[in-house]
Amino acid sequence: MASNEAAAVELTAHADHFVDAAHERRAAQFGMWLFLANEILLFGPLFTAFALYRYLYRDTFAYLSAVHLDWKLGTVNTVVLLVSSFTVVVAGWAARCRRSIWVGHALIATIVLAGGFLVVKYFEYTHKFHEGLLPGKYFTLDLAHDVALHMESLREMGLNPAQMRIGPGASMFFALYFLITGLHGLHVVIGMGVLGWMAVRAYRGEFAVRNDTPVELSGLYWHLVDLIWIFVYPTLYLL
Amino acid sequence: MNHAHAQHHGLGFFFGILLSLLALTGLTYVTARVWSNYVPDVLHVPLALTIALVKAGLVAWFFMHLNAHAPVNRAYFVLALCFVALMMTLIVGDAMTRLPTAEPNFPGYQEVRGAP
Amino acid sequence: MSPAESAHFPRWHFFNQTTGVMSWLTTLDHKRIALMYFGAVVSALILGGLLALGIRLELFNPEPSLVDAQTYNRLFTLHGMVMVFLFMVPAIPAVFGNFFLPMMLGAKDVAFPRLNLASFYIYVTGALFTLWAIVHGGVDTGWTFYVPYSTTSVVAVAPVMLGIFIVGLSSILTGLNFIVTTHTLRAPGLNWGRLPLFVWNLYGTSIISVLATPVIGIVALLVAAEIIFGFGLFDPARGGDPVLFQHLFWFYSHPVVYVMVLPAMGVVSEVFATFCRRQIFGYKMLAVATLGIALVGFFVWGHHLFVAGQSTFDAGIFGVLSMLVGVFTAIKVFNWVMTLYKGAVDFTVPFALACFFLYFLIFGGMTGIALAVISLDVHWHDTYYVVAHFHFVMVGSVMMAFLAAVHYWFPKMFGRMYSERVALSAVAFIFIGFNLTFVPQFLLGNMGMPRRYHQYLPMFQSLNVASTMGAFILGLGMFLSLFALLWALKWGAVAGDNPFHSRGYEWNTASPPVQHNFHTPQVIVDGPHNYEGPPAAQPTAKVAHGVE
Repeated sequence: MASNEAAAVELTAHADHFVDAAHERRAAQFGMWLFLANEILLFGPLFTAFALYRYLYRDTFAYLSAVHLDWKLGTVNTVVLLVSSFTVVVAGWAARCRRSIWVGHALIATIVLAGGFLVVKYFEYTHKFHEGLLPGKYFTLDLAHDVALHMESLREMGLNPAQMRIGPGASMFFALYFLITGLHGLHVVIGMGVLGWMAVRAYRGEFAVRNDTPVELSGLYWHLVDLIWIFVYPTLYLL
Repeated sequence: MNHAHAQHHGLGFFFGILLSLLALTGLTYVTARVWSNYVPDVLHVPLALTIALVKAGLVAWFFMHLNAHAPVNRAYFVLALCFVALMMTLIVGDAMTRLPTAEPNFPGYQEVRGAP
Repeated sequence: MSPAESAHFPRWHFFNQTTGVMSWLTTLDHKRIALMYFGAVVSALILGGLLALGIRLELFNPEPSLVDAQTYNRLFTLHGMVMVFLFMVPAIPAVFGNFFLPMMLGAKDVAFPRLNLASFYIYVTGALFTLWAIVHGGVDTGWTFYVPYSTTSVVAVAPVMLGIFIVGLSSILTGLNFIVTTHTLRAPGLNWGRLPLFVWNLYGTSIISVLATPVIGIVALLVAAEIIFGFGLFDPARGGDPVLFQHLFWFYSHPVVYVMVLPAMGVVSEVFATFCRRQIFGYKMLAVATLGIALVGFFVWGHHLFVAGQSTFDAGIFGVLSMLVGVFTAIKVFNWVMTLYKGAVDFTVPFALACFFLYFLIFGGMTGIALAVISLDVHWHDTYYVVAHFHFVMVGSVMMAFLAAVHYWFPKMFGRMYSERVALSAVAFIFIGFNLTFVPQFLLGNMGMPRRYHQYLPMFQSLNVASTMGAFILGLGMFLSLFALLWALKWGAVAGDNPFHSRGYEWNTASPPVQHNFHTPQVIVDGPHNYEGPPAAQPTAKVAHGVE
């Protein structure tokens, strides 16, 4: 098996300025974590803005979240992303076991799930476009009329619109909704691209003979996308 | 370190983590919407955030292998979260202690609200 | 200081080991990337400096003279953005950090060389795009692009925001690279207690770069989204809070002051140690104070918002926390002064510049402490006092440190010596010109002259004339310095490996170094700048001859 020797060489390959492959791998992991820390602070201001405006316009935000965001779709997407996170773990596990084909399968499953996430998002977005639930100057919903329409369902939820100050900040809710989910969606798309590239490499059999660092790093990125959604879900859909 | 880790945790273990994540998702939904009357108002946000933090912790610690990575990786992850918390605390704290803006006569209130 | 008599220029070094334009444009060598950055930031400095001279010329007379109000606004916007985003932020880390961080760690390169090159090209792209956007759009918001002006202005601000986002990405990648390099590529024996102080300071800088820069990135994108889509996030008419913008803006922009100052402090620590012939007094405290400044820098942003409608509660917290920066900075200043005490001082150009740095840091810092007092800030806010304060810190101390770094490491980077006499006179011009420019501005600010106007009351003229004259003396000194260095590049005396007899790790190789920095793998047995005992044997020189 000459290919075994070639594989051994590939597995221990590393850049000149590192001591060995494990050294390089540690550096790559650390670099990726720093990048993720940086991503967290990219999203931080958006969540901060949400916290601020939710504080200022609590009733409006509660009303819009309860009536105009579909918790079912939000929950479905949460489940989809959590499962996709698991399939990425499977990919990483397969890569550690050098089963390159299985890496590819797991990544394709992840990408399909991510696609499902985007399809659900697409339906949510188009629905909002139709209802005029848009940020800033494009916000066209007649709130007073809207509250009257949803009186029944509000009562069912235990909310009393008479005691709520619904109105100010309504367009702000959708500004933040589109900003947060939009930036997150962009990360989903980038993640799909990265994972797709990894899947191609996996089907070429590269991870049978190469170390699995690329799979692990792209997996870390995908988990971060999931991690952010874990916070998006309650803040937008439930609170 | 990673290889030892892989031997300790098989796919079944990770599947268990996934199940607990799904269970926590259910819990956060139920406490926010179904049992919302039994949860005091002031606790809604802290409860949802706590559950989200636990979920995030599970993902980071096991799915992202933070348990096996170098301590400095954990440190930077936590530091980033701390900075977000700092930003949030002082900015929202500013609004909370800036009383007039929380009132209905906050500039722009009428325009946004439109005709009553 | 005269180079050793036996000094010779090494036959092979990183300049000539590979040749051709493409060998530079596609290089992964951190030293070459550093030099490309050097060219870029010096171009930015010249551009920003010329704009500053234009501004000062306009302010020579109280009446509008050279340019109209609109053009004046564009001038200071361009000056501010070029100096802050294109010069100050990358200046010391991207040039001297890139060049010397791996050498100080005894490493062959930074951890991610390709990322390093990418970061350079991202910087160039972002810089050119930003410049084009500002000039083409005629942006007049000032470098702070405060809402609501920036979101309602008729000029095209959005492309500039995108440019700032791109430049920010470059500094994130550089910071990330430095942190990973410091953690993973230290030579055997180089534990954290032996790290050169320049490395400590770069480390603190990089933490800020990685964790604060994304905030300005997203803020810039939010402003752009606000302009393009009208999201109303900062628009009071839609229930938005403009103060939120200022919070987020300064969450980045205050820490970024330490992105500029910390590397400067690192340079000065190296220079003082070398020219006082002793390790910095209180090395550990200096390292701790570095991380302290990096951390506390995140807690103080609100002192820019004292008159912006921030609550008095927040203002109080930020006012008190701001004093902490003063504590850590004072620790550093005392330690540098203690290093001078009973040090065997060798009065060279880098040393003189380091002393000027101290002077500017103390005065700039103390006026900053004064500005962080709420009641005083109400009086001084948006006056020339603030302008003078941050120019003392940024231009005064950071520029002195930048020049100190240029002169101190010039022999190491290029293998030749600058002319001590010419450099010293240039530096004297710079020091005098700088004081003459900005001391009057403190007085003007205190008298109530507001910043960012192209005309002023006639009573302010004499001080403004002094300031303009100072600016031209400063500019003269800078150009003299530039020409002296350019001359030395070609005709300077051959420096030899270590003309300053420094015992910093980076001197432990030939000047200029070879492609992978050292001829033999480095093993560190002692802290940097240990001047007790005979100099450690430098095997590099012998090997260098061998290579020849």
